[in-house]
Amino acid sequence: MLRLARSWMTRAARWALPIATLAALSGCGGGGVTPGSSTGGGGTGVGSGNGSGNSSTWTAGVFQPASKFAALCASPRTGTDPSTGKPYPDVQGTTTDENNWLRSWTHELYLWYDEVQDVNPASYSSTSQYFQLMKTTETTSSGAPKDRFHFTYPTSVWQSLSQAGVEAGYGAQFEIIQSTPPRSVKIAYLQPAAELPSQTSAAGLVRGDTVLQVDGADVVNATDQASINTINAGLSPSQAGETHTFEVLDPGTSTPRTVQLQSANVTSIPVLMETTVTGPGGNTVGYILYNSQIATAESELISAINDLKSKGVTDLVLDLRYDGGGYLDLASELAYMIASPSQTAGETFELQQFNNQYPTTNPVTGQPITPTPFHNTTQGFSTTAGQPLPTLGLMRVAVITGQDTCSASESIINSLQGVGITVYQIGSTTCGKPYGFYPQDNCGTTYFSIQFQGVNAKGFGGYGDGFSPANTTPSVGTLVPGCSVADDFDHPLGDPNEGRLKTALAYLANPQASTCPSPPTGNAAPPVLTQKQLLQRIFTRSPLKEMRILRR
Amino acid sequence: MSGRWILLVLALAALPGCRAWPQSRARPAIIIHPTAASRADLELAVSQGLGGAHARLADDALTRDSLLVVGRAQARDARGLPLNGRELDRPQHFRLLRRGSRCELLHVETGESRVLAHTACRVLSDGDAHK
Repeated sequence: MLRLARSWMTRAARWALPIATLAALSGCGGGGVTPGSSTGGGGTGVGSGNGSGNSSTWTAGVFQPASKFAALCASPRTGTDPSTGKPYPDVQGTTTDENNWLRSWTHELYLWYDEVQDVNPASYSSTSQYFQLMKTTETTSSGAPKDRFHFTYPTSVWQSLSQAGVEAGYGAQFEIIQSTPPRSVKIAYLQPAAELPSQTSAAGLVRGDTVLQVDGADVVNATDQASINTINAGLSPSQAGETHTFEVLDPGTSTPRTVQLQSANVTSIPVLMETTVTGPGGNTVGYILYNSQIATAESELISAINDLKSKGVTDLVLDLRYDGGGYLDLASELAYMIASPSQTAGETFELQQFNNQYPTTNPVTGQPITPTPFHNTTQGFSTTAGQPLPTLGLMRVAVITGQDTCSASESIINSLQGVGITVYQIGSTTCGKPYGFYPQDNCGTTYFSIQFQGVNAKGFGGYGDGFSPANTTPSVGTLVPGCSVADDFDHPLGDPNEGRLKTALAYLANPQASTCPSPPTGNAAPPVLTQKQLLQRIFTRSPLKEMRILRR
Repeated sequence: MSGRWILLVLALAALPGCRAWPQSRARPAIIIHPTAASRADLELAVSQGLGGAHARLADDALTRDSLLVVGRAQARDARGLPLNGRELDRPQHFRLLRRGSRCELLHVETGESRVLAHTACRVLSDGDAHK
């Protein structure tokens, strides 16, 4: 029963225990537990009684199995691991042991393992610094770092749970349009009134409000760390019950006003809007604002599609501009529900590709690599599993995107293109994350290192620079027919006059480049951060909260 | 003597914990009049059902629907996007049931039930929207 209860934990986490246990039992004398590992040997002896993984025997280019070093910790945890219900597997080791584990694990599983410089694990006294070296330094064709998604998290925080969609907040989604001075922070959308904390409701905030100050700190111009910390703490409260003061400027006004907000455990509604609008050609066009691919989205999406189907829509505008991804199976369900079933039947939604050491076997699960199909039935996220899904049966769709359109959201675009559905892209370049992880704990830190790339039915997954509307200036990313249009904070989402939706409707009526308004410049590309910025943002911020504001 | 046995049986029945309840029929229910104690009750039951990690729940959890979906708390990257934007796992599901006068939380994936001793609930009626 307990084993079943824990089955939701990541496959990687489940794998960690047997690896660590075997390592501990064997006195860390090797083992090659990681399935499919092509490495082994290289060491000259067995670890000593203190649990050392024989760290001193580093030889460049020779890799011992990661299992040999797993759970050998400079500071072993004690007590019960909530992911397994059993004592932590940690035994006394050294920082070098932990670095050795990172080195071997990277060599085994990292997608671009052969682009990682081999660095002596003993030469770094910090695992976080060493981990930062365990990635490619290559760049994409746009000049951006090839790997912009290399993270760590405290395992105790990573393992924490929440009701689907529940986070501490105000019910207002802040959008960081410019994260360095002169910064621009606006409210992108608010949750429905029923979900809003009372102070947020009373504050009368609206989409397009500009945040000027947080608890007295100047959001636009502050450069000192204390102010940065104050702003971040206010924008991203860590728990319910925090009170912060905001100075905001409402759209169309010139006099700021001050509001006080108190955070609460707010439930996000993933399908925030579903409606129909009349296109320029007089046809009925469906509009879905899909902000978060969380479990509760499954039932909401089915409702939305059924409703649009009943209204006889002949086109769809899918608004993913604030959708950063989530459950891949939900992306597959939605793609199926949009497309004509004749296009998706038996086709691949997305296939995982691991590094070239594992062409046929998933190295984490040990199972043969099989594609995620276009699901034609519910998967049981928030509905009964196995129910047939409705379809709109479309051969084309307009997708509204922005820099927050990421990962599983991008896979909707890619997968539909892979089966011959025409996708029009309206908005700006997506984040460029065709990659995925099996997060892995070692010694209390959970590591996120890219392990696979998702490709569509045509085998394409090379959109590391994102998808860009065809007339994007300057040209970046993988070009998709459509128009580059800036986010329009002067209109509500779903308003046919909102800039991106208006353009999407026009483009559906006349899918020609000449339909597009003049493209904006300079804001279409995903932000490229320096290594220093990334480090600052990831490692100086409280867990589960983003550091969204930067010092220049 | 028989009175003491009855008390003992009632006391045992009221104890929280996981057990099988083969007897009376259980029906989907929602929480009524949630209190701090009932919220703590629910959080503890969910946490215990999933290994002991802290669980963040909405204050109105299970007051509108008998189904509670729980997963890993949303970790975000520096841009505020989900850290793992291609989540391959599945969430866990809990169903609130009323059996006799008791409120039970059923962990759907395991079949394990826990009695919510400090929680008041009522059976869902046809007029309630539920999944």
